[in-house]
Amino acid sequence: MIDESKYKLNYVYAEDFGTGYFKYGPITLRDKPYMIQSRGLFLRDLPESIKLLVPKEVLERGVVVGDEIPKYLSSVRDAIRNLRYPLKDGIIRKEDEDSWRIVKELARYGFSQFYPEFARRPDFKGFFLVVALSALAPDYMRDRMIEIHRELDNEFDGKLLQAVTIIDQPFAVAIAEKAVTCTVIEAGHGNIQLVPISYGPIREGIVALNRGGAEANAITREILKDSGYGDLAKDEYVVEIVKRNAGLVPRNLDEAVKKARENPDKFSIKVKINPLVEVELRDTAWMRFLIGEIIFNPKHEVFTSYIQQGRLVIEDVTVGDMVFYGEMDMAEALITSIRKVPVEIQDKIMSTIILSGGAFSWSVPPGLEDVAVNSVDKIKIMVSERLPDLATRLSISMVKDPQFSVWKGAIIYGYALPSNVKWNERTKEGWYYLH
Amino acid sequence: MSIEIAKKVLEEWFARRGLRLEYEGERELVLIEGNNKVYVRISSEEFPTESYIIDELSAAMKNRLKYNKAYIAFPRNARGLINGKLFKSHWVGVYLYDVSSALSDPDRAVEELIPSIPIQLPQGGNEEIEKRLSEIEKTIAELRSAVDGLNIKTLMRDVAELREKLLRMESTINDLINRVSRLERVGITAANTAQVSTEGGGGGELPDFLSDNPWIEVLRRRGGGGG
Ligand SMILES: Nc1ncnc2c1ncn2[C@@H]1O[C@H](COP(=O)(O)OP(=O)(O)OP(=O)(O)O)[C@@H](O)[C@H]1O
Ligand SMILES: [Mg+2]
Repeated sequence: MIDESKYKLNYVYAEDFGTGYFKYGPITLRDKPYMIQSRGLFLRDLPESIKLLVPKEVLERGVVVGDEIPKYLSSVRDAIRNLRYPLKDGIIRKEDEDSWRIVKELARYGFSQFYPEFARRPDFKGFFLVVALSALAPDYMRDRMIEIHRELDNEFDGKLLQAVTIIDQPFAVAIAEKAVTCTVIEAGHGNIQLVPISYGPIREGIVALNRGGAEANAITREILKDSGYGDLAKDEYVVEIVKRNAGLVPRNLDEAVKKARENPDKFSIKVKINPLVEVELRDTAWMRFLIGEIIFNPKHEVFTSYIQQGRLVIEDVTVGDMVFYGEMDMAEALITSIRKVPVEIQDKIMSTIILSGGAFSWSVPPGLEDVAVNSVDKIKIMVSERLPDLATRLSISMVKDPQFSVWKGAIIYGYALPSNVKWNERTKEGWYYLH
Repeated sequence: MSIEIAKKVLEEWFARRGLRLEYEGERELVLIEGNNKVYVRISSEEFPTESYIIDELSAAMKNRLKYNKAYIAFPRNARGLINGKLFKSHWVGVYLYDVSSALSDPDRAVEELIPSIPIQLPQGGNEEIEKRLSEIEKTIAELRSAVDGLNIKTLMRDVAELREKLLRMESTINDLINRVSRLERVGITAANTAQVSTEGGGGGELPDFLSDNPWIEVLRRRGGGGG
């Protein structure tokens, strides 16, 4: 055990496959993983003249990631079609070979940054690798991840990896936050996962919502159109900037909208995209509250007309046997999740609620404290409207480092999970040994 | 600004230079210049973003091989937002037009900001190609006999010798690394004992981000035993 701990202090490695960013690296990085965008560029139909300049193995693999992308972007003919985001919805379909190739390339890119140095150490016998995936990832995704890493290990002559394990992203958050019983709500770009945890994830209690930062982008796009910026609304970058700067979470949507309509000067905002392009929301300033509200409660009637006109799509989807609810509001999701766990631990689960993920990053501009709130307060308000008794018992907090807590938790998990725990299909826990 | 006006200004300007209009689409012009076909895509975006430009560029690239030259025409105000390298590497040129100066000074209503690199379209020229082919065949034959003439065996022996040397060097380096890390460990233990003895307790090895976390014990117990 002593030897194992010592070994793992140097040779645990974690990968967090986020929808937006891939975070990776060994335990020796301590608090901060390396990070690149979760995307890959296919080197299809390259001009012959360029092909001669590309290293042969890169050409054979046919896909590049990370800082290799800018090198080739201007040479690939159809850059738009060939630049792909494999984890856009958190889940990769079984037959989506292009996405699997990018995932493999992301992992290889990470290892090739660290392996050469580690391989030189005489006591290095392969990493203990922890892969963090969405709690809703179907079994075939876990299997394929193992397979991909087995292939990579072979490419490094079987010296790269000793064993692999998989962890749910929200479980990793709980570990990083040192909370043994809690509920984690992880709101990323594509979906929102609510996972109750008591010495491990309680699968019966998982609730999934089919919305996230992406829906806030969708409503921002419609607001830009309604404000006379039809052309800019087509630009995803512009939409992202306007969302982050203009979006507000209302304490109560109806009251906030009423106040903003009565006093547009107070709520109007100018967002500078670059030195030439500026967006101003004045008559439509009240719509700023829709951007935040949609994450928490898309059932509100203001969204109905957008949905009826087909300008906004929010619907349930089924992946495997899991339903991702489109419209379920955040309070109902939380209550549903808590009700699904055994009664005797419900109290403990409620006492610590941890929010993580970029889609919860809302702040309150000075002067608007009476109408706008942050994510923690929004959830408190929503629950107390529904169940006042429950609200007083909830303790909700936001993680310090929303981007890195998954990776950090995965590292701690890899360090602490003993190497003699072999993979168990039922508990979905333990190490797969590759040799 | 409307595309229709821009189109008229551009057509007028090309006509004054003797180009003949062959086709006019919603946002596209195809012109004949001597033996060459020139494709022009018209944009009215005064402040195009990078992703807009990439969209336009890929639209212009779609049929790039059908034309000798291809251009995108932007309003003059877009000048500072055009990334020359991007266009040059795709062999697409850029025109800038200015509707307001069309009446006063029609000659300066349009300017060529980046020339399009012309490409040769495959038409006729078969003899030329055959000549090149037979030249290439000849070169390959020469290369082949040159390669045959090389003494592969000696080369292989040299390579084997080099590999041998490299292996020896590697093992020496490994040996050195071993020694250094042994030395380092001695140093660290010395430092640790100094620290621990002041606290009077054992352990104290964990880096801060692993210490004081209840999960460590919880997970360890899954191995069937304590720590
Ligand atoms: N300041 C902000 N204000 C509003 N939204 C934000 C802000 N910062 C990030 N986001 C949104 O958060 C989302 C990304 O969240 P996050 O970085 O947690 O996801 P990820 O790690 O890439 O994916 P996953 O949730 O699958 O791990 C995007 O929709 C992004 O627009
Ligand atoms: Mg994340």
